[in-house]
Amino acid sequence: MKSLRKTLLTAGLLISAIASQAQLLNLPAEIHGNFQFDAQYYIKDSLIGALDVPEKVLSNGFGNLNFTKGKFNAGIRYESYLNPMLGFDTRYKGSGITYRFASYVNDELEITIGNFYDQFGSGLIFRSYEERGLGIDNAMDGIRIKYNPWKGIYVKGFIGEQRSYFSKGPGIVRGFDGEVSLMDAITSLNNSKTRITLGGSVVSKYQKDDNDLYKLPENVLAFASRLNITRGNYSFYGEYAYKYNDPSLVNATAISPFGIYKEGQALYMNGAYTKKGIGISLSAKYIDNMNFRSDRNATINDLNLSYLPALTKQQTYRLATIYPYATQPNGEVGFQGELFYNFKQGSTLGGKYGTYIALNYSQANGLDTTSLNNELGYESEFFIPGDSKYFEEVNVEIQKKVNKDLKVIANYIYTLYDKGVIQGLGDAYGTVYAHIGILETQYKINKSHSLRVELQHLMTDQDKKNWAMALVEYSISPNWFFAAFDEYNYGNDDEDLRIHYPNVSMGFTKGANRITMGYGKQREGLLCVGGVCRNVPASNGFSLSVTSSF
Amino acid sequence: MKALKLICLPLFALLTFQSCDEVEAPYKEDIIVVGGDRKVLVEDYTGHKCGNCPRAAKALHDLKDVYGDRLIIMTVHAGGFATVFPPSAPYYTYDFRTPEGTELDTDFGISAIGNPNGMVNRRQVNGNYVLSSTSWLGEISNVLGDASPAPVKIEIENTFDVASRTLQTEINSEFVNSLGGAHKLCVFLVEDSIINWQKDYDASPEDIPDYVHRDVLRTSMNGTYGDAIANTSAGTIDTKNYSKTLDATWNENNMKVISFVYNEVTKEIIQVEEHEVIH
Repeated sequence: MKSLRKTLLTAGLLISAIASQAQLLNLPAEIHGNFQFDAQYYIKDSLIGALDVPEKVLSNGFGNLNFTKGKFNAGIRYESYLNPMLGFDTRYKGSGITYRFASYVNDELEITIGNFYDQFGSGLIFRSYEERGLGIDNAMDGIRIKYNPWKGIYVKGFIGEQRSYFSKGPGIVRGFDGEVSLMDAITSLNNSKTRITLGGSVVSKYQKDDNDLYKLPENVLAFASRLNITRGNYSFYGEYAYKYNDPSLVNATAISPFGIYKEGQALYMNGAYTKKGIGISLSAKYIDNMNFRSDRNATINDLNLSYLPALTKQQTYRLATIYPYATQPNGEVGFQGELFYNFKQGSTLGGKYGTYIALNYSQANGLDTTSLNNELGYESEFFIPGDSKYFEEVNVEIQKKVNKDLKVIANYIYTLYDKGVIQGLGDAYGTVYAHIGILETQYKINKSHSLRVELQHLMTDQDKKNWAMALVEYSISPNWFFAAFDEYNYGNDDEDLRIHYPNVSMGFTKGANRITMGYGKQREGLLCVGGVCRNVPASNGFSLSVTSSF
Repeated sequence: MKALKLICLPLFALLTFQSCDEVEAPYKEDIIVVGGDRKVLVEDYTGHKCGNCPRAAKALHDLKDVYGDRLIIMTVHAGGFATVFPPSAPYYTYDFRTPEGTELDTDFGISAIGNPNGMVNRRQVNGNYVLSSTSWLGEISNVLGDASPAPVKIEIENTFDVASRTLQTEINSEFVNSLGGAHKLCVFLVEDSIINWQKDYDASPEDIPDYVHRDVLRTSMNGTYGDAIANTSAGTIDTKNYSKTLDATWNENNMKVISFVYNEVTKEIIQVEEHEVIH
């Protein structure tokens, strides 16, 4: 009897085990993907400096295909640049499969082979990512293992090479990262209101020393540790990073032409208080010789390991993007303070619909350094800003809903911009001081029709002087939008260069598909996302963009 | 600061499988140059408004102390940094550009990536012809480290007629080993030590009026991509004759003829030689 029960129990367990296996096998396989195609027809326009494009049409396109079944994932991406659009690196020319991976996840272990993106902490010593608009893709190609031995604790490690256009960089990158969420890991602290997370990471890159003139380190190591504390409405994040000697092209000097042997350091801190209707955030960062790449000969946005975001407001209004800040990885000290407040509905300043006000102040300075005139380069004072101010910005934004159909947004921005340093042009370009005023109104005509108008003005006595801009956008939800805008450099000293940059565009969206078309002139400038920038040359022509996902 | 490091150290110690090389002074090494008759051409693509370029140019020319006449340099002004300011501007009005240099720059996509950048014997590294300035040295030593005899010996003979400013050049390419595939011969003229404006971020002020421009490409004697060599089998001597009238503003005493044989498909330079116009 007893043995029968045992047999039945065993059989039962077996059946349920098979059933659960079968269940796994029966999980539906899912395929998802997305597609994007951008093309531009270029017209030569020597007045604005638009180059002659022999191909006339340039295009960038890609498609992602991802397959999921239970705990198994796989995906590929095809990219095509025929030829790369202006402003994108010419080394993208061509087409092919640029990303493929397979991964398997179970409760404790996640294994990825092939390409992957990842980030340690805030990215000070490692971030592998793509930013398509900037033409950045430093995906890893290798093996990654992530392990969760206990609740609240994970460790992960990887080894791989980094993507460089249609090939890979010469370095091998090894990384290791661990994080402990104390309140999750320690049972007695599970209910604590304070949450503390500690993390640490190490990244080491190997690149052969093929330099006969200097002893170059073949293995360069960087490490970082981080701390995150939250309690109620308060939060704090801090991360410190250190990098051993890493002579490279980007820290080369006249005395040490293959790069200096100085160590690198970075410190990033952020404290914030947020509650319904109010938010305060203070950040500071210190970056010293933290240009960390998997190839010591790489420049610009190539083969970066470290990610050093700018501590400045990410501007979206067009004239406010003329002078964007680009992080100076060789050295800077920066601060940012942000405050937003919602005046309640019915209060004196709030009125019937409430009033939103946001203030933002940021500043970035060079380091306080002493040149050593040797291969170590220089000495620097930790966290002490130097005399040279690279960037300063004051932002004031007020949003006011006037009635149920009309909303008004007003912005004032003051910018101090050291063009020579930020754009790598040298001393001669000097500092630009600009005042920008922006007024935006959003008006709901009826249930599906709405109108948006922007008026912008930039005033400066330097560089190309004053700009004005106006935009009208008409939307018929959910399918159509029509927009027209004009940027006008009316204050340029050279009368021939008082140029209008008109643009018209329209878009059609249905479900997951979107088509936009436009014609216009694009001024040359810098396109920056989070302090990482690319040059956008002037262009004139028709553009077409198609996006789709499934 | 120290505390921060202390927090990191135990973790770091745990991860000893990760490696780190700390280099201590002296950082410089003595180069041991392998013997042989191979020479290497470094094409330094630059512009007078490129503030980072003088550093690369100096480091490259300093290598002449190590490699002597086995290192041949051709400086090509092309691209955005090489454009000229209108004559009304006080500086950068002199045009160093050449049609041949611009064609090479466009075809190999060099200034599109940035300056300074260049090519070493037009060899590809990771599928790229364009090498950043700090990686030139590695590729130079790869070429010169090959002690086997160069498969072709190039001999340049120059005759310069001062009155007509005509340069007659005879190039004899002697094939020691047979070379498979199509090969071509290029003949360029460079002028050394041209004094003119140059931007240099390491200098203060940055705009230098009397910068010495080294080994600047002036023109070609047979087009951007040269002439085909009919027979590249061992024992053959290919002879080609060219002539060119030199611009009156060029100083023939500082000029050199650079000639090289390259593979038409891979573009790789097999051997290069240079010779003064007046000797």
